[in-house]
Amino acid sequence: MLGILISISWFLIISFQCGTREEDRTSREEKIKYKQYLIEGKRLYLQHCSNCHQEDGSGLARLYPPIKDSDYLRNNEKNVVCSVKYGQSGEIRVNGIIYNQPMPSNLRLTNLEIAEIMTYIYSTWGGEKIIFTHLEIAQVLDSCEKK
Amino acid sequence: MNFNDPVNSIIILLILAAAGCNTERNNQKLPYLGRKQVNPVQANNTIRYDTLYHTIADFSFVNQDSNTVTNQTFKDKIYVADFFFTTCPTICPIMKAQMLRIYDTYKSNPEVMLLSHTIDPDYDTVALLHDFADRLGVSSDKWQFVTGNKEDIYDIGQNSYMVTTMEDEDVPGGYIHSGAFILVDKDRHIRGLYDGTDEKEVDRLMKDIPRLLKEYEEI
Repeated sequence: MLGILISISWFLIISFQCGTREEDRTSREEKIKYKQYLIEGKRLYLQHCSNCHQEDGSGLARLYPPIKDSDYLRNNEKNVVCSVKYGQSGEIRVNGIIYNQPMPSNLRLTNLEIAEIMTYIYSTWGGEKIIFTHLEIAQVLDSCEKK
Repeated sequence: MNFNDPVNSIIILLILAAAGCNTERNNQKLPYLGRKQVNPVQANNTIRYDTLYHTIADFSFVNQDSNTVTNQTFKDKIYVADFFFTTCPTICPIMKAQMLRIYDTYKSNPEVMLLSHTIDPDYDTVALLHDFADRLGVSSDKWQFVTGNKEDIYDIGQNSYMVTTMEDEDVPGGYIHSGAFILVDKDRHIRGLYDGTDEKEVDRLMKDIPRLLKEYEEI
């Protein structure tokens, strides 16, 4: 009887430990994935976006709008995704200033790459430590006006 | 030459010391870039050789305020020239951010001007250049944005400022062009070429501007 109890206890202890290990691993993997997205997102940002929006996301005068501390970023997540892929033209208002410089499209960017860029800019300048997935990006891109 | 001779040794030392001074970059005159032509000139019974330095040709363009801009606009000024277009997605925004640094540094110095030529004059009209300059927050008495006949702009880019400019459908934005900043002195000679997309190169340019200005103080 005692033997059975001990066995059950061991079983419980082991399975509990395994459970925490499993959770640890998932969160660790998530963290690593998040970091990877940030690193890759930064690389892509420097390659495709920083010419105009600057390395520090501050934009340039009244020509190119800022990404850093931008109300547009907070309120227009979908439009940001669409603009990254399909570009944008006409006036947009950012932090009360009207900008009117055409933004070129980046049709070659994959959904994963856009997810990485979004993760980077929102984490770095949007005050949101969130990861965007390629599935979310695909869904948003489907709803863009300019496809 | 006898190295033990004290007079000779002193001369050699002096030469070395002078050479040492010359290697200090800041005391040197900036170079004259481009092709030089040496012309013999007969004066009385002697022959004098005049060096003709590469010179920026005559030009006439229209700026962001619809005013005509010619070489006369830059009389008694040194200026930095470049070539760009407002919708350029690649190197131009970097060049403009760098040019803005120069603008801010020499804002209050009337001897320094900036000249940006659009290489897409069909799209970059006077109104558009006006809006562009306005959005950059710069004024035309310091920074001229000019448009004009396309051939004239390409010609002066290639032959006077020695930078390549051409249309190419295969590159983003549709134009190949150099990101160079060209430093021109008061006599229309090119005294420096810099990569306008490289912050360090532009730092070098901003050190060369006071050196060039100093040459005129000494005269």
